[in-house]
Amino acid sequence: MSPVGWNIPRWLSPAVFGLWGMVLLYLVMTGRYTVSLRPEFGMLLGLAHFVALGCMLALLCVPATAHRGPAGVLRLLIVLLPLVSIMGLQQNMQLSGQSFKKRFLGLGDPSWTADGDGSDGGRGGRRAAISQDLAPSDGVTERTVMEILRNAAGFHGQRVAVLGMLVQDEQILQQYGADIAVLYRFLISCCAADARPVAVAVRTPVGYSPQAEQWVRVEGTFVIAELRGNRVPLLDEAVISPTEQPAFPYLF
Amino acid sequence: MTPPGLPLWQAPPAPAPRQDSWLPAAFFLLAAVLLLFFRPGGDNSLNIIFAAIVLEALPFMLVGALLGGIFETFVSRERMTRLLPRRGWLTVCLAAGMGLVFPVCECAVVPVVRRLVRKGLPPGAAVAYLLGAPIVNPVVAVSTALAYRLDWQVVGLRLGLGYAIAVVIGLLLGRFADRGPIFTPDLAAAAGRLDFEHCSHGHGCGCHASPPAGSVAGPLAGDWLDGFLVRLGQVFRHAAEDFLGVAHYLVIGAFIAALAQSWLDRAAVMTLTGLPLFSILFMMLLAIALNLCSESDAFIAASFSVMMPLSAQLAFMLTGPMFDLKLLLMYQGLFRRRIILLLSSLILLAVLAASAGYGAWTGTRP
Repeated sequence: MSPVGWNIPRWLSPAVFGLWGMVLLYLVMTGRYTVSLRPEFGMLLGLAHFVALGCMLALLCVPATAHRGPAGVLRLLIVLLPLVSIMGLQQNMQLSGQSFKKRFLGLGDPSWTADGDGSDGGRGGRRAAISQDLAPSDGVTERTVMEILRNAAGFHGQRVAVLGMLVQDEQILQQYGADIAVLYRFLISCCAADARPVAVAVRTPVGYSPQAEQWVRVEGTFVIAELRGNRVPLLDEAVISPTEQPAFPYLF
Repeated sequence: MTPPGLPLWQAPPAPAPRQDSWLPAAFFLLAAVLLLFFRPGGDNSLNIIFAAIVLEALPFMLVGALLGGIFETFVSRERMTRLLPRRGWLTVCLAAGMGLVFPVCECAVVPVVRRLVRKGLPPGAAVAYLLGAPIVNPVVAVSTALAYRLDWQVVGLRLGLGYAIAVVIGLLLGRFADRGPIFTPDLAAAAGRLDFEHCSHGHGCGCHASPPAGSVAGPLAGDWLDGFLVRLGQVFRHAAEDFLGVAHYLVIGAFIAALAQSWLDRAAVMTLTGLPLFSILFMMLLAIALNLCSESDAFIAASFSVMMPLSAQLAFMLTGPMFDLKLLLMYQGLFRRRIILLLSSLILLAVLAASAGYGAWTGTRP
């Protein structure tokens, strides 16, 4: 009888299911799967955990017949590859600014422009105060980018506070103007693979330069402005302050 | 019958199992590990997206495999075949929708169709079930609905167009089969004969064992709990075998999709998708290359929703379950080569026509 160590495929198949079952349980218990998925997926992952454990028990009783030889073992290792990737994910991980640049298609999303009233409050708008070290003023309701964009007309002219990340690069400067940055968060339908940035323009104070991968709270007056021929949602008179990453970095 | 030249006491030699090359798998593992763990600038996007796609698809793969195991264990295919008319267009129409009650993904459907053909299912109906079942089934409907945030129009379009394509191609190949055999010679010769040589698992599972001694009406009639546990073990064993048979395709597909998601510049891609038919052809090629399971591919298609029109996403969701690289190989065990060529051409043409027709009709954009 060959030692267990020489009969790798016999034990690797149930081990694949056992490891997946344990990792799924760990992800559900810690909530770490929300780095990549909507919170609602926890129930499905929990169900998958039970199926994986059932498969492990079945293969422990009667060994799998497939996956013999080096190719079979390598295929099983391929099935384990995502576990290494998943266990490397940290709770505070998020899609990078590079992802924003790859996915950003501009501020002129037609889904909100229909709701906007088209007023031009931001054209030649007032310069923001020097603001980075100013405390946000009291009594301003915190909103998400999506809430504001979905009801652009309702928020027009109102003072709002929005969490997100600011980015300012050559393309944005050329397209919208020298004092404009873009405040964004990722909206996901199911998982990070379908993440798309939803964003508003922010008129930044003179000399302000956003830091990469830094979460900020921007308090400003929401208007629909025309910037270099583009009608865009804009936070004017902005007060920008660094803040902690929210528990769920994504919008759903 | 013993082959000539062999003594009577010696069993005929079993055909040597095909040895898969380990090089492609090793190359993939090495490349994936390098790309995942030696990334420039500490960008985590590839890791996050890869994990997202796998975690999103995994529950559906496992539950789909479990459903397949339940049907394999508790529903006899002979009974299902008896329910179908033996000939005619009605058989094809029924077979194309049989996935609703016998859901399987495209990887599991090939051995099932081999079994059904052996039991005398008409060729046209077998082709219709082969193409229809991986799309027209409840697991695919639910996963598509979740991927598209309960957009039932997408679910209806996917299942409706998939059903229509399966029926049309089933009828065409059924007519073709009247002129000559379409299945491999061994399959055609074995039609009607019951055997278990193509069971995808070892016979130690007990699936085909006779009822225990003393049992009147099968294992569940004796010790109920023991019988139930045996059946449950068979269900999970079938599920495990089915899952392991396709899981590595999912991981490879998810990794390629994650690479595409991480590296593709959407603004650049959007300029290309403005060309007529380009986006549809691009998504069809992607579906063929990614080899995704039909129970999870909707999530990949949905991830392209901001880059591609719905017609192109539909092309992706219709092509993959009917024709991709791994199916091209699996079809070799079912059809003659000229039929594979014909079937592949028909599938691609039908998907292109259906998707382009839908796109032209609605002008839908993301």
